[in-house]
This record gives sequence, structure tokens and C-alpha cells, in this order.
Amino acid sequence: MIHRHVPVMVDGDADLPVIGLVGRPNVGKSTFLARGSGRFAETANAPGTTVLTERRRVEVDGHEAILVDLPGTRSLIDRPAGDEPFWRRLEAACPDALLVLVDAGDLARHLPLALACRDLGLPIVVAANLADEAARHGVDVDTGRLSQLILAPVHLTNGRSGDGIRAALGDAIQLAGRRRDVRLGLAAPSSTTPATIYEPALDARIAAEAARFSDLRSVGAAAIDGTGLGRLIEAGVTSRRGAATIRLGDELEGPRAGIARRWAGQVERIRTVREPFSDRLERASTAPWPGIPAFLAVTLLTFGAMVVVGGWLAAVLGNAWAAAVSPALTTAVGAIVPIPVLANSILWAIDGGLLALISVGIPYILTFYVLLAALEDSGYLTSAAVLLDRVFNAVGLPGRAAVPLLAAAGCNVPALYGTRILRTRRERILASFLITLTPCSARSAVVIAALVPLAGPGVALAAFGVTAAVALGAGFAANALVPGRQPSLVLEMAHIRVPVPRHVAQKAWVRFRGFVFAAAPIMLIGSFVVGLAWETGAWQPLSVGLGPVTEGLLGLPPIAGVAIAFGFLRKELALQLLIALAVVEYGLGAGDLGTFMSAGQVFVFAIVTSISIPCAATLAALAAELGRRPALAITGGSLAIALVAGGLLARMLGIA
Amino acid sequence: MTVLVVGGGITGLASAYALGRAGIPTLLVEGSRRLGGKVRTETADGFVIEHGPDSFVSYRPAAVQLCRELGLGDAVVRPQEPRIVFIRSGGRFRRFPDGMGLVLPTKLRPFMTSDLFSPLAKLRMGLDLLLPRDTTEGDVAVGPFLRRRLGSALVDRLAGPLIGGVYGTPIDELSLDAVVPQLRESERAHRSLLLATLADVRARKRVAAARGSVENGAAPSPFVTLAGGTQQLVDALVAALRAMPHVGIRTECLLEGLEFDGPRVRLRICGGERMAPEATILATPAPVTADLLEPGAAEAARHIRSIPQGATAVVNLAYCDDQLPDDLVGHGFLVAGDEPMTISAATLSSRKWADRAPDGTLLVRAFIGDGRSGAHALSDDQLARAAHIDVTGALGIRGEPLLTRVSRYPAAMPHYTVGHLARVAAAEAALAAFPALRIAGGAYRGVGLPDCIAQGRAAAEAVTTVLSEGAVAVAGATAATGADGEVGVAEAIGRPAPAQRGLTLDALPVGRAARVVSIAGEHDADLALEGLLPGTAVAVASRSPLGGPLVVGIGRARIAVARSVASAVAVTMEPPTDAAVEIVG
Repeated sequence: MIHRHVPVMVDGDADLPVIGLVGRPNVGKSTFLARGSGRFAETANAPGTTVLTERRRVEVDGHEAILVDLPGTRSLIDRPAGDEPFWRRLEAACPDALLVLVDAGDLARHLPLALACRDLGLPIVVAANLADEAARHGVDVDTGRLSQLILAPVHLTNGRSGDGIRAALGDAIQLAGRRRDVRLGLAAPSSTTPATIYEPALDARIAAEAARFSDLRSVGAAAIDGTGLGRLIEAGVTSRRGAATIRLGDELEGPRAGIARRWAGQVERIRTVREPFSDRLERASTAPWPGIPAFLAVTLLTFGAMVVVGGWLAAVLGNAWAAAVSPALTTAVGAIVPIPVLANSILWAIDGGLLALISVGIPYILTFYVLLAALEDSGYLTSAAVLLDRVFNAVGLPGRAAVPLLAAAGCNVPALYGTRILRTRRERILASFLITLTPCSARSAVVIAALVPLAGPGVALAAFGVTAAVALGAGFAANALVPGRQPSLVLEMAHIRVPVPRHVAQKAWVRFRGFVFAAAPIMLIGSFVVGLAWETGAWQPLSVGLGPVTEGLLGLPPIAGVAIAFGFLRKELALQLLIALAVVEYGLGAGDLGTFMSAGQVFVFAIVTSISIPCAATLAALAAELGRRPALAITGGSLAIALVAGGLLARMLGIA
Repeated sequence: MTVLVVGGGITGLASAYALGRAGIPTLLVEGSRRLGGKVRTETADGFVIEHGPDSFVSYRPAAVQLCRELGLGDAVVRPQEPRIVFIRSGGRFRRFPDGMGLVLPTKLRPFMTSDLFSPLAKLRMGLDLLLPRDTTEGDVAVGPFLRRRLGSALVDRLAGPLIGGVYGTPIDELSLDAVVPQLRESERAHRSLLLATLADVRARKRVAAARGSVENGAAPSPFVTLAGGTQQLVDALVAALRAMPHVGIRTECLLEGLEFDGPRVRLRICGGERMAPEATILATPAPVTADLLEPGAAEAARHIRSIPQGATAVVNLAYCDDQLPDDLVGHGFLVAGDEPMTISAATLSSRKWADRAPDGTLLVRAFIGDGRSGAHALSDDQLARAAHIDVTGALGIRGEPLLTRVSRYPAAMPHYTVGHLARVAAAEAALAAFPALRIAGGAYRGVGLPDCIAQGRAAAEAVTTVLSEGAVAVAGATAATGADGEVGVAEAIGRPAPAQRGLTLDALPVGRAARVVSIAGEHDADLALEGLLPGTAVAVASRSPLGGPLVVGIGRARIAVARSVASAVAVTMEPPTDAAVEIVG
């Protein structure tokens, strides 16, 4: 999903109470939010899909509030989105109450976060989510007892069916409303402070730490605390004691876990049940046997399905466009725009550009997103990631980078946004670099369309092999060159579930919409620019200028350089452009690649096209995510690699 | 006074000790003059005579742990070798097969060559390999469950005396879920109990191989006791409690009644004195607890009363060596269900344990369970006579005993009959309205000393939590719906056993349960965030190829952990789920 605006404020409801939705990654917050608000946020059955803040208006029994979906986090000082500790998100969201989602079947691991939230002094409501899965595993939760222990309402909820969600939300709205009234001075604050759950010694330590915040008003927030915890107090999100518990977060983790384990023992009722099939599947999916063959089968099936379904859809849509839309557009534009050059350039944009969007975007990218969403929602991707962790380690990435890298095979742009699930900037830069080297479906289409008719599918496969080898080699090199080292893996894995069609469809759609928003302007403008260059003949000087590289280094005809350069604007157009240029340059006989290029030249052309510079949309995404300099470095790097690889290949094949 | 502990048996003492150690002002009241309840050791004329329990299992760590805390670590002793036990069946002694688990053999050869079962009975057991799973939900009795899978011979001759003897309850009434839930799990996971045992034996071999040690011969006995008798534990507890200035003990002080006032409970003790403790632990026998709860928590009382209480008795007999036959060997015998005897089992105490009787004498401890019809209607003298006749008749001892002691426990042996866990859960749920009132004891979650101690500690811990939070009523809280499970608390309390030297998570065999002992290095914070801390129960689910990460199961979650990180996590293996249990002998 493309997030262009960071928090989206809904309708400017400044005085509605705000509820923060907190939970560990993959506990189902996004699904919960969708159920609670009736709209969908992107979820994946993979930890850390929510990387930006979503705000939704919710209403229960006539009471309204704003529900803010915060990124999944393991503690308040954890850094779910890379650089910033989680509590800064709290400062930004400024909640009046927290709705803490915990896994009903895994309380010992989930309650510490709830305890940390409780320490803040904000009212909390605990939603023991995934209650259905817990029950299937023989775990029933005594919510009454748990609420006595944690001193907060506890509800069993089920994001998939929606059970219990309104009840939990209702409590949260009520508590948040009361707190909001206090904040606005409409009600007197209650004097009760939450009883401590810690050992006296630790409690004294918290109190001492809290005292350091006491002269906040006189000294000023920033001065007293370099981390900005003071601002959190000033914003009314937490008490001084709460701020102290944040600062002592590392020390409190152990005691909280101990309390959580003890409480879990008191509130869980364990039945012996037969091990669910999904558990056995989970075990099998990460074991070398049958995990590795299964992974290969799944990968092959995914790409096979993409090629078959995508190819069929592309043909259907392309024909329909050519039959119905194209003639009408030509007539209309010709009638409206009097200047032929301009009219033709506009047609390049809205006829050719839109067609490309429809005949590449919908069949290949949408299909790919549906398959990817199904794999994600099933939870299989994290299993595959762990299985392949060592392979990714070699290029400096953790196994979980598999998700964005796989997504890159659809379109690089959403894949780049997906690198937010990686923890360090180093990993993000390395992954982004590899993503730009991964042929997206548009580039793959060029490779397939250029090589399969001319040299057969085997050669096309070989081209992909070369691309993969180049990417891997570049990854090795980048891992060695980019300073820093890779952190050791400690990662919670998703549970394997049957994908829910609704989730899959919605997730695929949200991503696809993001792709369309990002790619459509680039495609339209790019097409227009290419069209203009074409119609005005401005491409010819470019062809001459690129001559030394195209002919000298790569051993390709001069027009191929233009096609590759224009690939920056319209990757999938590179091939058609090449043929069209050839027709102009060499006459009508050059309607086929084979007439003016040897198989070797086409091979080099395909390789250079597929790994050379990223398209304009990718460059924009890179700049937005990593900053301008890394974006330019990555672009330059991949261009250099493409040229070096192409030059080497050309020499090996004897064409230059 | 903050907490009142009612009942000076081992459960109450353990509760008070845990509270005292936590620095919480505590008063323990006991109706009788003596502390220790059913744990009683008499020393007379050089004999160490156990009137109640004579040993406890070491694989449930609470008791051994408590002994260590009290400085009795060195006094914990194991049975003398060799450990030979017999089954009395068809008027003959048959050697208890070597390598026998709770129900099933872990070694094939000694079992196949054993004369305990006829070839036909062994064939019937083999049918277990073919029988389908039973998918019915809910608790069933141990006896019918085993009869269906393995045949009646096994139940009558082995499992009945063994499991029925431990729980003092006829095996055809014993709750499978409460007593041997691992059997049900084995059937669910493997279908066949024999296959499950086979898988477990293999797993253990792998573990042994992974540890690099060769487990030669039999594992040490899981039973231990204290050199001076089990009362040593009581004495040490009492001494420790008396040394605590904030803990008081009153004996001969009966609790006359509870008064319920909202969630608070007030009490009348010792002739009308009133008390309003902040929390109360009822560690009294179940019938007493039920009577106390009746006025304000009739529902809980009803559930507690529904736990049947049976009678048991112990007869200690001593003989001179010259009364004994020359060929007397072993630690004792179990009596099969089809045998016409009054006693259920006999332990040659002075052969099993060191220093239990003066030289030249033999101390025998006969146990009379509830399945023995009519035995409990006998007078003390008649019962002693019946035990003497059984023991001497079976062992070939001549003449009269040197010493006779009869200890009887009418209506004091809780029977874990079918549905037991549900009854306990219902009782606890009914008490959820009184968070500061706890029940604990052998009637609820385990009859043995370790179980009682663990329950006592769990109650103390729960009360500590309640006190520290003042958690009584919560606005907006949902009413207690489900039953309250204390499951897991005992586990949380049992401290991990000392680590096997050098065993780390990355070396743990796949599928083997273990517990984290310590985490070294820089990753402890990250691991803690994923719920992996010292004390966490873990198992390795799989290993990724090429030295890739481990997938570690923690509860329901799976965590991928790099091997380099896992190598910094020291673990200790947990005892296998169906740890071999031996009785007497």
C-alpha cells in the first residue's frame, strides 16, 4: 500500500475521545480495526504490516471515538518502524485510552505489553483476541479472573467473526470518554492510582525515577529529558510514574514477564485437545523435509499461475481495448487537439499508457498480489522466510526480507514500502538495492516477450538465471560494502491459517490501488514524454549520444540505447519501442526483432533492460523511503551493474 | 495479621512458609495439637515408622525444592539398590518387569519374558497397535480406557495395583484427565499407546545421544524420602516458621466459622475470637473446607463435597530376622485386583530405605486402600491381624510381630473420580467472587506431598498478588464466567532443576521439552521481548538448513532464533511427560 500522507485525520473530530489500538505484531489489530470500524486496513499474516498510523471513527451505542491503529510492537520502547521507539507514536496519537489486543492462546507472551500499557496510567481495555484459535488449541481464558488481576475490563474477541469486538470497543469508548472529560476539565480526575504489581524494591526505583520528572513545569519538557518523555507527560498521555516505567522498560521486562506467566497460569484453563492440523503443518513447513520441496513447489505454482492467468487476462483485456477503446480515443483526441504532434503524443499517453496499465497492471500485478496476499494470509511466508534465512543472510538480510523481495517480482514500488518491516536502515538499504535489481512483472514481460519467440523458453529462463546471479552477486558485494553488520535473528512467526478470501481480496485490492496511484501518473506522463520524443524525432540525437555505450560497450544497435533509456519512464514499453524504432530506422522489414538483432543481442538487451535503472516510480519511492542520496546511489549502482553485466555478456557472446 | 492460613497439614505449612518468606504477616491455625497433618513419623526402639506418606516423587520438584530451601537437601535419600518389586497375583509373586513405565513397558524384552501376563494377554495388548482412536470428548475412567486399549489383564494385574494404589482409588473410577492425562494425549497424538511409548523411548535415546551420555541401566528411582522420615520436613517447616517474627502459629485452635461480607471474609476462631484477615487460605481437609464455605459460598461447598473421600489405612509391622525365610528379597509387593488379600501393597521399609530399623529386624509397611471391601469396617486390632496374616502368609514369615502400629484415615483420601478436574474448577470458579479466599490441599490438584506443597505455595502466591493489588472489584469487568484454573501455577513456582552442564538451546533435540535456565550475551533483551526468559518452557520445533535459525515453540507461539543466539540460551530438559512411576518396593 502506498502511504502518501502520514496520519489521516478523519473529519477533524478534535474533541472525540481517542483510543489507541496496541498489540504485538500479528495479533490481529488491523482485522480488529476493520471489524470495529467497518473498513479495511491492510493486514498480512506476517508481523509488522501496519507501518503507518490509521485513524478511524468508531461508534458503539451512539458513543463515538477515534480509533488509532498503532504499529504492532513488543514493548513500549520497541522500535517497530525502525528508528522511533513505540511510545513516540503514543505521543503523536495522544490517546485517552488504550485497547490492548492480546492473543488469548498465548497470554504469557502477550500480557507484558498490557502490563506496560497499564503502567502508563491510561485506562486500558484488554481484548483477548484470536479466541477461536485459542479454543481450538484447548485454551480457555477466564476473562473475569484476568480482569480482576489486571484491573481492567477483559473481553474475548475474534477478529475474523467479529465476536466481542463491539463490547470491547464499547468499554474503551466509555473509559476514553471519561478520561477525555477529565482532560478537558469537564470532570474531576479520580484520585485512584493503579496499585503496583512490582516488588517493593523495584517499585521504589520507579518512584525515584518518576521524581526526576517532578519539576517538569519549571524546567521545561525537553530540558529534563533528552528522550522527550517529558513531552509525553505534558501531552497527558502518561503520568510521571508511567514515564518512569517507560524509561526503565528494559529492567521491567523480566518482572512483567514473570507476572504475565503467573497470571496466565491462573486464568488459562487447558483442555487436552488433539494437535490441530495447522500446528503439524507449521512444523512441517519449517523442517528441511518436507519444507524445502514444499517451498519450491509453492514458488513454482505461484509463478506458473501468474504466467498462465496473467497471460490469458492480458490477451483478453488487450484485445478488448484495441477493439473498443482505442478507436474511440483516437477519434476523440484527433477531434479535440488540432496539432497532430501533440495529439499523437497525448494518444501515446492515454491510449498506450492506459492500455499498458490495464494489460500489464491488472493481469500480472493484480494476479500476483492476489497470490501473494493468499500466501501472506496463510502465514506461510514467514515459514518460508525462516527456512531460507541463511540464503538471505548471505546478502545481509534476514529471512523476513523474503516478503518484500517476493513482492518486488510484482512491482518494485510497493516492495520498497514493504521494506519497513526490516529493523535496521542497513537492512532496508540492502533490501531496496536488491529490489531494484529484481525484475518486476513489467520487466519480466520484456524478457519473456523478447526471448521466448526468438530463442525459446529455455533461453528466457537462462536470462532470469543470469539476472538472479547478478542480483545475488551484487547483494554479496553490497553486504560487504555497506558498513554495519546484520543483527541476529529473533522473530516471532505467523501461525498457519486458511486464508480468508475477504482478507486476500481486500489486501490485494488495497495494494493494487496503491500501485495504480503510484504508477498511473508516471505511466501517463512517461508515455507522453516518450510520445513527444517520438513524434518530434528528438530521440535521434539521443540515439547518437548513447552510441558509445550502446554500440561500443553492449554491442547493440543504436536504437536499443533509446529503448533502454526510455525504459526509465515506461519499462514494459522498452520492447515495443525498440521494434517501433527499428521500423523507422531500418524500414518495414524490421517488424521483428530477429531481422535486426541477433539472438545474442536480444539476450543482452533483455538482461540490461531487466536489471538496469529502476523506473521513475521506483526512483520516487526510493527517494521517499531512504532519502535522495541513497536513492541516487542505488540507481547509479544498478545502472552500473547492468552495464557491466551487459558488457561482459556481450564480450562472452562475441557481439562487441 | 494479614493472612490467615487454616490447617496445619503440609499444604498449610507450605502456604504459611511461602507467605512468611515473602514478608507477609501470617497466622497459621490448626485444630489439633500436632502440626503436619497426615505426615507423621514415629521413632520408637530404633524403628522409623511412617504413619502417613513414606516417600514422594522427585520429578515434581516442589517437595525436593522445599527440602533444599529448608537445608534438608542432604537428608533427601533414594531407595537402596537393587530395586526389586513384585506383583502378587494368582497366589504367586511375579517380578515387576524391568523398564516398566506407568502403564506400558519401555523395554520390550523384560516385558515379553515376564510371567506376569499370559501370551494371550500379551497378544491382546498388541491389539493396541490396530485399535482406532477414541474420539469421545470429556473425562473417562482410567480402567475402562486401558481395558479398551490394552485388555483387562494389564489393568487387573499391573495398572490397577499401581495407579489405583497411588491414588487409593479403584482404577475403574479414577479420572483419566486428573491422574494420567498423558495417556489421553498419547492416544490423541499417536493413536496407539504402544507406538507412543516407542516414540518416547526413541526420543529419550536421542536425548541421551545428544547429551553425549550413555544411559546405562535403569534410571534412578523417582521416589525419594528424608533420611529421618517425612516428618523431618514438617519439623523443619515448623522451626522455620517459628523463627519468623511475623508468622504466628496456634495449635488446638479450631476455626469455628466463616462470615461472608461482600468479597471480604471474617472468621471466628478459638472460642469466638473474631478476625478479619485480608486474605484467607483454607488448607483444611475437603469436607471441613466444604462445611466452612457453606454459609457464604454454598455453591463452592457443594462442588467440594462432590469430591468423594475414601478410607485408607497403614499398618506397620516389625519382625525379627530369624522369623524370616532365607530367600526374602526385594522392596515389597503390590497386590493384584484379583487376589484375595486385605492389603493393597506392602513395603519392606527397612529394606527399601536405609536405617529404618535396628539390626536384625525387618520393618514392613502394609497399605490398605479403599478398594478392599470390608477392610475399613474392621477394628484396629482386626485390621492389624489381617495385615499380619497377609504379609506373613505371602512372604513366608513365621510367628508374631515385634511391633504393630495401625494408622487409619477414614474419609480422608480424596478420590479423583471421573470429572474431578471439572469439579475442582467449578469449586474455584464459585469462589472467584472472593479473590482473597483460597482453597488448597490434596483433594484438589494432586494428592502427593509435592502436589500439596505446590498448591500451598500457589495459594500463597495468589494471595500475595491479590494483596499487592487490592484487587477486589473492577469497574466494567465482566463477571467471572469460566472456571478458574490453577493449572500452570505450580509449574511457574517449581524452580528449574540445575542445568545439565552446557546444554544450550541450539543443541536441544527437536521435539524435546526444556526450560530456559539462563540467557547469556547481548540478546537477552530481544529474547525477553519474544517471551523467552529464564523459566520459560520451550521446545525446538525445527531447524532450518545450512545452519539456519531454529524454530522454537513457546506456548502457542513459534519464534525463529538464529543458532548463534540460541547457543547463548542455557536450558535444562524437562522430565519426559509420562515419567515412569513406581509405587512401593
